[in-house]
Amino acid sequence: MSVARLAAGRAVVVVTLTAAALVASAAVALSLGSVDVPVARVLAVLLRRLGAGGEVTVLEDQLVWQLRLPRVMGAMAAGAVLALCGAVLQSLTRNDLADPFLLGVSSGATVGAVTIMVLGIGVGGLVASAAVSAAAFAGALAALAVVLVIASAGGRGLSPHRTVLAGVAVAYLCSAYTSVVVIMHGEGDAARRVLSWTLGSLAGLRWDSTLVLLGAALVALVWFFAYAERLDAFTFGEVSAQSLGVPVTSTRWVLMVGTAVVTATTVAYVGVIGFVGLVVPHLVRPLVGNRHRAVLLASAAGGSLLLMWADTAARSLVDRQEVPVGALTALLGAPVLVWLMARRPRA
Amino acid sequence: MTHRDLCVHSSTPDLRASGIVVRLGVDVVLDGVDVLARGGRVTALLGPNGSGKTTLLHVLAGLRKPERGTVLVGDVAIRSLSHRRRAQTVALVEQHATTTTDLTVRQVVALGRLPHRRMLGGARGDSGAEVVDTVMDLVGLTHLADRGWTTLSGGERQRAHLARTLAQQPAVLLLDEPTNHLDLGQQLRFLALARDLGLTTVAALHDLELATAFCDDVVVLNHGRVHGQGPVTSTLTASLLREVYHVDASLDPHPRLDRHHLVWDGHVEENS
Repeated sequence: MSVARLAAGRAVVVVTLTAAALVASAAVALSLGSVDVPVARVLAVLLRRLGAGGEVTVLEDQLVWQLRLPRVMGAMAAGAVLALCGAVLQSLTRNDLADPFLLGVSSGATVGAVTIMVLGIGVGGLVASAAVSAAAFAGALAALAVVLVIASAGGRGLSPHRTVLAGVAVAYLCSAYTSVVVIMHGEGDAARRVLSWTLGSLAGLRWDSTLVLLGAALVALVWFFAYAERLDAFTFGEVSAQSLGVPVTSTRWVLMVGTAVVTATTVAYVGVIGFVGLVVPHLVRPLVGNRHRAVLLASAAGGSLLLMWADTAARSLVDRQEVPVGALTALLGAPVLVWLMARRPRA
Repeated sequence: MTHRDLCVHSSTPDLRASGIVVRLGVDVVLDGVDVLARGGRVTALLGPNGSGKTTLLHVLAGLRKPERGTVLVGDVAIRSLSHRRRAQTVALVEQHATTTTDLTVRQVVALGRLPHRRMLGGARGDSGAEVVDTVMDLVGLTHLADRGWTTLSGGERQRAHLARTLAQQPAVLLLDEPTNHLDLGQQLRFLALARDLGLTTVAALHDLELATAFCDDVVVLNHGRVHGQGPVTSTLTASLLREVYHVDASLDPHPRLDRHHLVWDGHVEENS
């Protein structure tokens, strides 16, 4: 009993600290940027917007509420989604290298985005960025569908092995298409725009897109949390999960499609941001243990923090220019991953 | 809570499989297998490598749908149960199931409570933690409760798996070569523990000596068919051992103990 109480007490401490870190980080992130706004002024803007009154300048309001807050919250939401999906897929496939893009989502999204950006097809009445988002989302879902069809052909469930292979095959196909389109039809800085899209950017986030991302993060958190104990059952593999009463095939379908759809939503707005989904789950497991309730909550928080800070760095490190956020997450993530793998116990 | 309180099933049912056929591609893995494991007894499942023991255990556990045939626990068809209900009825200790995930022993054992829990947490009744404590005590792992999986010895891991299956509170226990990779002392202790549970138990074994010492009945599989079944000593005849294992051996009364043991003449057939 005392062990349980100790664990519960520890959980409360961890949750409190995490929440404090998120709030404090957000406040600092809102103050940083091309023009620094003191944290006190940030709070003044937020309080006024929340109806508490007070005096702020139009510029402060514009910077903090219109530009930075949606971007900071969007980064938190996207980071949470990616880390949650990474955690779920790593457990589901028992593959340490699984990330949210395992199912071809990123390459499919890139096909969609490139088709619009380079060929300019189907822009119609939509704003260019909205058209790219829509095409990326559609591309991601199309790639997912192809991966699932290949992986489940022959009717033997959705084996992780086949799914990973199908994902790799589809990713290569998509990248062939992307290269051909960019090289043959790209004009001017097409290659540069495509590259920067594939490295991800949160610069385009406004309130409308951020609300969608927040929705996706909430859905992912609640949905996957409900499956946390079933994911625990996969610890010793699929036969053992099955013998513990988990309907393995349907659980795989639900979670794979679920992760792919929320990832596709995220990718549609912020592009392909790597390493968050791969690294964060590995980073939190040594801290909170291996049970999925803890891993999922901690991954969501860790992904939020990582992407928010990476994006804050991306927009404030270099004057008047954005460093690609995907490059920053990789820069942080790769050494951490190597370090974590080196100190892992053996089976 | 004592281990008697673990029994949630009113009786120890027979486990009966009839006419089981399983194909893998064009290979017939199980070809009309009939098996009876008597309630509360330990049945050894014997046979050479590749004879279909693991497949049969998966069918008995209801994890694999046979092409033909049925498995009954008491008078209930295992495939007619929900996943959850099935896991409350039959539990399986797999062959070398391991993981790189460093769960503690208590967490591994608590996995066995899953079939008794609702999706968003909360046990049905709140005896979950008590059951986990009781079964850890039963298999002698209480002192290791907070140790990580990766630090355990082979014998401790098998006992943790056994405790996990017992936390499912099953009526039927299936063991797939549970003593592989264990030293002699651990093998004997593990099987004595499993035997004394009083559950309807089927254990796939390679070691005929262990089967003789710990099991009431045997089922001998060979090339996907049952080659013989019944009480250990009357089933494992010299002619059966010759046909199935291609060795000259027999079960003889032990000179000092009140049981039989395996005697082998030392001769090996080439290319058997």
